Amino acid sequence: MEMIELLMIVSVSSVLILISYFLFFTKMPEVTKITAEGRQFERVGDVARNIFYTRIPSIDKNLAQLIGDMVVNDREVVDYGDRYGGVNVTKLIYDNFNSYFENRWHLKMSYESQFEFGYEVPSDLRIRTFIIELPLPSYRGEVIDAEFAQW
Amino acid sequence: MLNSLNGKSQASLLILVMLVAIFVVAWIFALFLTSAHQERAIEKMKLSKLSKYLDFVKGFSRGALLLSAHTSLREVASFGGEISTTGLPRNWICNYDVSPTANEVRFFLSESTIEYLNDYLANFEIKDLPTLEIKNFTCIDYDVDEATILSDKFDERFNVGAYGSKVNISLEDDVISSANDIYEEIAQVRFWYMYRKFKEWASTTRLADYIAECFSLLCHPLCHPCDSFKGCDECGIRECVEDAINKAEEELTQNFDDFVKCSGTLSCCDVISNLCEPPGRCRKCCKCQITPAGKLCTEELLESLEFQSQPYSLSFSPHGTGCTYWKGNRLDVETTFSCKDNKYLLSVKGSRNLVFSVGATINLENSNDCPKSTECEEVDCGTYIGQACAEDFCWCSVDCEPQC
Repeated sequence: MEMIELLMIVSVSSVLILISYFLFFTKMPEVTKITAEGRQFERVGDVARNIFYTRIPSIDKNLAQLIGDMVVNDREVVDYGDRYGGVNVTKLIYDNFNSYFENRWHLKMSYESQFEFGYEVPSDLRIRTFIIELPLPSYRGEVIDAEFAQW
Repeated sequence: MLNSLNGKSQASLLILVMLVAIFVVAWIFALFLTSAHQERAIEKMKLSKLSKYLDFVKGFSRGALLLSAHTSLREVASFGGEISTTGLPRNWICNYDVSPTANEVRFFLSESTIEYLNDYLANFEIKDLPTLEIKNFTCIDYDVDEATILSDKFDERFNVGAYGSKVNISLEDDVISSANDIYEEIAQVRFWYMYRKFKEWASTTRLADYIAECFSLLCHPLCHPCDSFKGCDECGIRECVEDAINKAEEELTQNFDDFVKCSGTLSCCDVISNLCEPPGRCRKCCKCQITPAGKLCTEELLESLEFQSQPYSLSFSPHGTGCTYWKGNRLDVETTFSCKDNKYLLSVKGSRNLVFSVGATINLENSNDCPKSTECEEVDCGTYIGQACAEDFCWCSVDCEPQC
């Protein structure tokens, strides 16, 4: 009789432990995943925001302005007059995004021609994509979609 | 013995029940905790996402304001500080200095910028965010004032504020609302530097004096006194007026640094010389293009911006003697002065130099007392036959002595 009761205690405990295990260890990764995605989004969002806020000291212009000029003038080196001469916007784009994501980013946009920067997008990793709407120099309020991917 | 066994069995059952109860409570608690944690994480992420999107909208608005300001500054500079309806630059000289005040220019800059800026907002969308509402900006303020402009503080950088816009972003049941006011520095745009230099020039230029010197050409005996004058292309008047404009242009260029190049263009020239009639009113080249500015949105009421009409023409005494064979002369000139800044290039579509253009119109007239007789009569002037104003004056050519 005692043996049966002991067996019952052990089996019930085992069942409960198993349930607890599944409860904790199957739900936690989901939370972790959500949190990780959130963090990744935050970082990409910060970078997307900063291209409008952070001025590049040597030229005193923000990256959004430089990219807009590059796209509209359809050239990598944009002329900024006798004071600054030509500014290599491509290099500044790499400097900026490498400082945040090293070689784990890719940026593409198209206007009259296609512009692509960054590194090859891996197929086996989780990719966070953020569409950055960029205003272009224009009389009609033209805006382009710059697709920024990060992994 | 049986009692003892019964007691043990009940105790074991009790332990079992308690154990089950503890686990059930723990399980429910854990379940609640986990789902609450998960919900919090999702909620936090959603809020963070919304707040990032809000930051991004504000960032976009800043970028759009900067580009709108660049486009407006170029446009308003090319029209001499206003938004022109005629396609011609504003007059800064209508015989006298009629240059705009800083507030007048600010008004037109604001009007132009707000239009461009709201166009950008209309085209803005966030693809994975279905409900994004951005209310248009209602007021743009170029944060400058006349005194500080003239002290050169805003020569290369100044601030612009945009107000009245609101952003509403929704994601499922979560909504974030915020004012979208922005205050952005516009750097490396020498609009106010150009304004300042043109302003100084407009108040000191001797353009009218230089052009008035051309009156002396009308007095030359070769200038067909026996008939009314044919126009600006006779007697070297056009060349003289162009020289006068060049002199004024040199004055203007000297005001600027080496990055700025200026030019003056004669767009209209007219001469009226009558033997027996006063010169009359200006018939062409009389434009004094000034669009009245309105109220700034940041201020209740500016100083009166009504256009002060100028005297119709400047009266000049004829230079030298021997000009009395004309009863009256008019010389009307319209010109445009443009200065191009090469130091910085703007972030605009098309030509990226800041070109500041202003109009200058000079209307000159002189009247002579017709000696002795005001009656016109037919006279024989040797090689020329025409009308002369005075009995004892008749100029025909160098070789022809007065006959009357």
